[in-house]
Amino acid sequence: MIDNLVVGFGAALTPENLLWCFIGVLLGTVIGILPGLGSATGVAILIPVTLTFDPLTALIMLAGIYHGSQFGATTTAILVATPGEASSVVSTFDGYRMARAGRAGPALAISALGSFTAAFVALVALTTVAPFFAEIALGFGPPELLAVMFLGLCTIVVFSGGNLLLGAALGLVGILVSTVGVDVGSGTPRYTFDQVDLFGGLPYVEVMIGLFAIGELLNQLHRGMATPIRTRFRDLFLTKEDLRRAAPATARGTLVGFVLGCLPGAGTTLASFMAYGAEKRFSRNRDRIGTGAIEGVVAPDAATSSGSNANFVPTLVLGVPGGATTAVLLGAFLVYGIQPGPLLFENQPTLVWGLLASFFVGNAILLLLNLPLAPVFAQLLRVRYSILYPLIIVTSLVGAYSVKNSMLSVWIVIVFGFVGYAMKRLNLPVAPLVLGLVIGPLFETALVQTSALGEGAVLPLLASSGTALAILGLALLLVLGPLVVRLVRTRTLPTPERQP
Amino acid sequence: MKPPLRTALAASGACTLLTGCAVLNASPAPPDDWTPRGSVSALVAFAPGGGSDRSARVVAESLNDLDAGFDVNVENREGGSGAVGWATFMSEQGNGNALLIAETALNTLPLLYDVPFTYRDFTPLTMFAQDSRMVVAAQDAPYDTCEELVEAGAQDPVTIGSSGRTGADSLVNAEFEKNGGQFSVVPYGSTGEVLTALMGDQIEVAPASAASAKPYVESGDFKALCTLTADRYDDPVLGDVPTAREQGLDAEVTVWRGVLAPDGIAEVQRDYWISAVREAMDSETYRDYIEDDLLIPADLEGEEFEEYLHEYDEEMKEVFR
Repeated sequence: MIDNLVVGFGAALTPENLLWCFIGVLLGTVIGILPGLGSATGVAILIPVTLTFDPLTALIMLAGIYHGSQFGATTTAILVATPGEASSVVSTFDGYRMARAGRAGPALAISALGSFTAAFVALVALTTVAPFFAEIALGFGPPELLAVMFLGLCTIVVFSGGNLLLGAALGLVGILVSTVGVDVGSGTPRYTFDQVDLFGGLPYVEVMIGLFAIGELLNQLHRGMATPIRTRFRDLFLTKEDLRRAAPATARGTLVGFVLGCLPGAGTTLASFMAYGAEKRFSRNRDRIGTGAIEGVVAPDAATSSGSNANFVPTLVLGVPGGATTAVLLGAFLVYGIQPGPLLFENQPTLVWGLLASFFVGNAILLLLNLPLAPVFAQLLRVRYSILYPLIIVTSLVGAYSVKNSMLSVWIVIVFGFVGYAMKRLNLPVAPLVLGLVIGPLFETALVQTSALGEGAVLPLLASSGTALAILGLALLLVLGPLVVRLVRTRTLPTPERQP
Repeated sequence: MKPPLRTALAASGACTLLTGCAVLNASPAPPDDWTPRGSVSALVAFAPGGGSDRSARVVAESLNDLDAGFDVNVENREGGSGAVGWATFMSEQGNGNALLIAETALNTLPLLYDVPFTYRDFTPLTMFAQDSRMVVAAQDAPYDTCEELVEAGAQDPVTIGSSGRTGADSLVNAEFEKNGGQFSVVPYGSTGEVLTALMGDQIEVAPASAASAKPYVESGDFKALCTLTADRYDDPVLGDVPTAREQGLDAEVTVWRGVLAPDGIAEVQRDYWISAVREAMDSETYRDYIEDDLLIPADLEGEEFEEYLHEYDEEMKEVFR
């Protein structure tokens, strides 16, 4: 284990690799800040640039872009509710509220700190248990993944804001919207209205930009809150209390992110949602989550960070990408003539461990870059809204257009912008909708595969898998747990213990 | 708070209009000494990282190495098993500065789904490679050859993975069924996922490209049942694997990869690209690609390529009847 780390850091810390890691992280941050231009696109664009490099150097730079853009995306999510990536949607929940309350600096700082810690823990976990986790991931066939997706859908309970029926309904709307496009099983076009552009489904990124960035902006304009946020100097920095509250949340987020990141196909978006859901259930301050609590910022970011590192387990060991960006990186591996698979760890130890060590270095650079910069970024909110809002609208629309060079994307952003605005006005929670949208396709794929395996029957396969049953049990606990607790409490304690 | 709202909408409206205008593109009739200038897009209808994307990047790089005054950029427009990208490419009609890097699914997709295009809506330039499939199974599988696999499938359906309904994997399946085997097909997103499913014992056999199956055969995780090529692979690891024909099955799978241009381009433009691609295929990048990916080199141009596509389409109509 230690040998591997020594080899890895030896390879990652050469001046050249360090420089390219730095450049990658910096570029990535910029890419992440621009809405629409996500890490997958960023990495794809830069692959040709790196073709002349040594493979390790090239991959280190590309991985730097990956990490940098995750962070950049979170930055805009916190500051102006504009998530640059699907995985940073969750950061708008509490991060943006912290920023509105004048605490953008600490939100950004804790996000950087949490990501770094999670990256470190994930690295140690990767070096020690990566092959072991790859074994477990192999045992995760379609029935088990179906159970995981079901669990994911059950977190809607947590996101419903008290009204479970409403949350479930919005989740179903999300799933319905996610069925647009050619279906995975039979290949029938659904709800495409003969628009070939819709064959691939409604793209997440555009929907997210609309729902969150444009929706929030319209809402702000409607309310006419035109005074920029003035922050007091001491509010720019993290307090001891912040750190004390963030620590357990970081630990939980890291764990959730790592486990989900190891599963092929689950991706970091699901991880960030589940980590947030876990906070709402298990955090000591669970009642404050959603109102601008630091736990709600740090847990999903830690999950994204450890999840994106753990994503390399299926990518490197199995050759199956865990998410969109690792799929592009997998392509980069092939371009350099490296075939991921069971023999990669044995055949190319310097490359693999060098790359893994560079994740840690990259996150350290991000931390060094962003801890001092967080208060500076926070100053962005002091810009007059007549300048800031047009900027957000334009970058959002141009960003959406640039994803596929298609005007349809721009229309999707605009339409979902109004949907987001309407939901805000009507006080509907957006999270269940997004969750349905994200999990819908994953759930459907797992369902179709399971039914193909069982020749039409799904339940016998679920029942015959112990892992799937355990996960389903967890889902049941998630839904019924609070009900049972409340029931027992009202029976044993006649007086309500909850304070007003 | 009306002023900020008005400023915001006005400013963003202006900027959006500017972006919108850039999309408009008019092309005059090309002169006889036409050459492409500036940026040339090479469209791929699949996501970055897959086989199509890789082939497009090889072609783009080889063309750019010619230093002929243009710059080829790979553009991914994935979705709907290729439908989104290819339908988009139809709007490039008459544009000599646009290339399409496509493959077999361009023939099969319109046969299966209601899409607004067929391969006839594009101008074939050069077919630069052919690929095939091999079939792998777990070491302890009860069959050692594809012939035994088909027999086993005739008794009781065998679970087979497939990376898509229109790609090479579906052809393997069709060929085996033609020989009497029965299979229940489990759909996956990519060959990588199919091989992982085989590793996890979720499926019993997996079709895969030689390049992606090779490491698993080398490590001893899987045994190779047969290849669906005309001849055996010239490779130290896979050279021992017999073809399906050797084992007595009437089964062979060939998929093509080629460069196409939009419909309605001028002859001078077509000829330019055909000779440019010919020159580009002389590069080390291209040769390494063919060798590393265990592909069959091909160099059908213009009418020959078109003729090939006609024949191929007839074959596919038989398969997907």
